[in-house]
Amino acid sequence: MKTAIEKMKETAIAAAIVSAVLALLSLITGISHIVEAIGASETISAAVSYGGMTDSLLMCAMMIISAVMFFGMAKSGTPFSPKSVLLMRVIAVILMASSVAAPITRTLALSALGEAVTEFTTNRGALFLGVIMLLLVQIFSYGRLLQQESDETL
Amino acid sequence: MSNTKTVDLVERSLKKDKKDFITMCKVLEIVSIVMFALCIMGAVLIGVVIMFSATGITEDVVESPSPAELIVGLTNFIFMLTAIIASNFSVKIFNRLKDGETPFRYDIADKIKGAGTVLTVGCLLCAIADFVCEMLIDSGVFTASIAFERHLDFGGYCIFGVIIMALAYIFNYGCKLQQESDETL
Repeated sequence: MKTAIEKMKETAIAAAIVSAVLALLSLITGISHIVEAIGASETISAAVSYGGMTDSLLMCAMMIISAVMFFGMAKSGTPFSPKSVLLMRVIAVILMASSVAAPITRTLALSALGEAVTEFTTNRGALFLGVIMLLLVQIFSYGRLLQQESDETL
Repeated sequence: MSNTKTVDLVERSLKKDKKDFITMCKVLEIVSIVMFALCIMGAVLIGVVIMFSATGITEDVVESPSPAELIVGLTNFIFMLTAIIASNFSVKIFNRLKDGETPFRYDIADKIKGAGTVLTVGCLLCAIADFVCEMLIDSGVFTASIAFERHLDFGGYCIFGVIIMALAYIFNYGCKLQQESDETL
């Protein structure tokens, strides 16, 4: 019979591996967007590629941070450590920033290339996830207090 | 004296954190309710369109759909059903969280696990249907209409479901810590 800690460690390792793979995939996608943007003949498609590049690179950063966080959880044997709370807060900020980062990059690229800016759409899904992440940060902060209390009792 | 002041500050900060937490839960509960309602409307609309298309009632008005379009419609219908169940779970989770007590309760952990499982299984089904449909179009079995285009990233939602399931395990661990803390007191 596996204990809750063992189960948590196994899940954390699996999540860390998935995050690392996703980080690699995002990096590859980001690089392909850069290549696309450089080779694009139309200004609009170049701007779209720059937007995609921003999205992919931010995703890559988030996944790297997630991988570090999950490896830390598996190593320390607890998800409620000050390090994981800090890293989750960083992920929440990046998620919320990513909801506007791609449209801003697209707009800047269009302006720089001398094209008229006709639309500005934000990624509301990322913003919603960012808020959920902030909520999780607070739950994890409370968990950290519980963990501290448990460690002090033992 | 200074020690009392510090304790007072910490208590006030904790109170503020709790208030922020409850406000966030209330906002997310409302968002989940809106999502739930929108998903029901979406499912009803897609269901009606599929039903009319399948029975051929619309044949006089519009061209009957291709098999590829029907599969895409069915996939979207399954996705909507998944979203309805998942958002129903999230309404219940935020409703329980907003009472301001400990978030580490076994019923909340179970609901998180339920939401994760539903999202993973539902989106996996959609992703498989989507993949099969694309393969059949590529091999020429189905003729894709001009309107055929993939709009949803089912694989991404599936990974999101797995992450939620992982979160349920962390919550279970938190429940054990909470139980330990309650027993100590």
